[in-house]
Amino acid sequence: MTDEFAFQIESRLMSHGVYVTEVDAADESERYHVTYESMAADAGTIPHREIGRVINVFRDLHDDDWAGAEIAGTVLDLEGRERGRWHVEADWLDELHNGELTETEFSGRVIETVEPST
Amino acid sequence: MTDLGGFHDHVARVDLSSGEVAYEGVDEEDAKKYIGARGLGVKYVFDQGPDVDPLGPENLLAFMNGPLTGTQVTMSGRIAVCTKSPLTGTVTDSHHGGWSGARLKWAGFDGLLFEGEADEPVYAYVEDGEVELRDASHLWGKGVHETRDLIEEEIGGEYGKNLSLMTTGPAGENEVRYACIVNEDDRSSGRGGTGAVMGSKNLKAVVITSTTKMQKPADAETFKEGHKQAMQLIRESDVTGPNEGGLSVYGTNVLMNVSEEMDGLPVRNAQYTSTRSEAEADPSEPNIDAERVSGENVRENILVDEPTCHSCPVACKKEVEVQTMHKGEEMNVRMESYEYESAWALGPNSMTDDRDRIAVMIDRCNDMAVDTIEMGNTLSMAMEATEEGLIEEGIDWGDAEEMISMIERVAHRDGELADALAEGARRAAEEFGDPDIAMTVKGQSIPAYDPRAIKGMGIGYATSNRGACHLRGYTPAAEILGIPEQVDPRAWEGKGELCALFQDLHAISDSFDICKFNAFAEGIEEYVLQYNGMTGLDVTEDELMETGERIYTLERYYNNLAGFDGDDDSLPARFVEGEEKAIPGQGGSEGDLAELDKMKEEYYEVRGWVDGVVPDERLDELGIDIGPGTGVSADDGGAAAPSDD
Repeated sequence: MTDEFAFQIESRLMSHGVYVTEVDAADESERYHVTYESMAADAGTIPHREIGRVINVFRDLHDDDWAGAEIAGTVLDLEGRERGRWHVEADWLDELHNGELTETEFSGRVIETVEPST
Repeated sequence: MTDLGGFHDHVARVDLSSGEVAYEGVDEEDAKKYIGARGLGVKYVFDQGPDVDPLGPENLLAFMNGPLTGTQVTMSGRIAVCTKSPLTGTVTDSHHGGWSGARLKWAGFDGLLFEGEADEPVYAYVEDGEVELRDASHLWGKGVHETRDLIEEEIGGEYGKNLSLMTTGPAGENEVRYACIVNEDDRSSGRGGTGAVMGSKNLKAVVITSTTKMQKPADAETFKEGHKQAMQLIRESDVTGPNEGGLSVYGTNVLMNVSEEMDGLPVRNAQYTSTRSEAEADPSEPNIDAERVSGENVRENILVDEPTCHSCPVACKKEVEVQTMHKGEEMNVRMESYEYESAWALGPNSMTDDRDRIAVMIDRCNDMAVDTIEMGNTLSMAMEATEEGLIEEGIDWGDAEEMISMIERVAHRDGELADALAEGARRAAEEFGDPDIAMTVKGQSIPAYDPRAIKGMGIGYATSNRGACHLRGYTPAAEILGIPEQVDPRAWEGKGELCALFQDLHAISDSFDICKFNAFAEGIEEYVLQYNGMTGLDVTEDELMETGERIYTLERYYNNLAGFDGDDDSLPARFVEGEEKAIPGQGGSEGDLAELDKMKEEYYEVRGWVDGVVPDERLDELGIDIGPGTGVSADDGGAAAPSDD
């Protein structure tokens, strides 16, 4: 993952009040881990719309034929306290791009992974 | 040359007469003095000289973005089009949102400067820091919507993703003095006739291709701090809060009912100050109700989507879909600019509350590329002229079907009446023999705030450097919305100072170039942090406010050299002397008039101007060291002020 790629993720999400503190890729981009501060995140609340924005930025920054990668998100509040986690399986993105999953079905799967911090 | 953050140091200068394209950097001192977008654009227009014919080849047409355009800053998708106005004869700048400003930045440009006149119609194709002139003969005569489709087909990109279009329509080609430039289908650089300048140059469109390529801030930590502060304020605001604030839920048309309730809505060519008071004054007529065209009504009945501009959490655009009949034929329209000003000008001020046909009218204006505000005012003036028997072929109050037809006729200058109306409300009223029925300042028509009830708008319209305008200094922020604090809209005291403050603040945001709606939530502190963070400069709040004043003063200086002075800082007689038949029905504002002379005195004192003219000492104090000076001195009481000829 290039610095420019990380900057583009950070800058596009900042426009929506999502402040990326860390984004990295392991295993030659087969798994991304993004940590971000969310203005809307609260105890027990992880904004679903923001998760969608994060995923869509990754999709936008890849070619249309992207086979997908696992994306793991860690959500912080503005004080830096962890508020929850979520993730996307690479297969889901692949199925979405192939038309085997609808956007609604895809979103449903992602939302099921959300784990608010206790 | 500059290496300030937020700039590409890359401007194209296009000579349409020769077809040559040259590239130049941005003078760093100019960038520091005038920021970018509006400020820098006005400086380029100033350098071209104040005596140029607005519709002649020597006039400059500048498309400018600013150091914050296309960045992560909220609502930063804006672009300024700067030129000498064919409607007013003043310098003008007219902005639109959407994506074209951001995309021009991402394509590697701080601005595009067009001079000369092409022999045949052309469009400018912009990509990767290069500009190419291409044949546009197949687009000439086409409406904005068809041009949009043809360009998409020709270029192969996708609007909103990697393609943007700024085009004029038949009105621009026919040099209608209030023709505009439209971004894609609906967002317009509406005011001042920038589209007519485009048409006079045989320049049909500017087409930009680029994916999103945001620039890195020079000082990322400061930038992020300012961004967070701003975003938090926007989220918490009753006006801008996403999905909760009035602007976010109802769009700009949230103001329709508010203005009606406070008797601040000009109705029937500003003879009245609300639809209610008009109905009370003459109950025998068919009466109208502003509520039927309000943001609330639109949301409940015809709203289909809420699109956004680049980097905007507010989403004030309200996309509507209507099915209506026109001249016996079904007409289906889907459009996203059911704005307060447009709905008012083509609605209550023209005595119609036909919500769906107003959507059609706005769409027709967009397709023809004419300013909805000027069109509505010009039509309502023609309705009054018809009623008064000043013209034979006329148009009746509230005739929505005829208004739809007339918009296209004006754009094509089709017939004697349409040709007269294509000159704008003031020139047409003069031709009809009664200039007092034109609600204009410096030749540009008023927007939707009645200066008898909202006094700050009175001094704002009068002293606006581009003719009557609410966006030069948006005092309703304080007078209606209580931002930064509530002031009495009907009191005149202090409005000169308030107006100057907002004018300077908006000169800054217009030069960044970011949406004014940011100012409903954030303030100068957030502006400074984000500006310093992006550019790497270290300006203080006071220094940035002085920069805003410098920009406003440069515009006034240009106008002074073009022959404008304090006599041109006027209001229509209806607002300062009263309208005989309107007074009984003015409801809560009964008897109220705009105390213009008192407000002007206060305003000029705050500005340090002499009867509307910038004295040379003030130019020196603000570091405006270009041009010959006005020859006016503050010490001699303005003895050398330009005459009124």
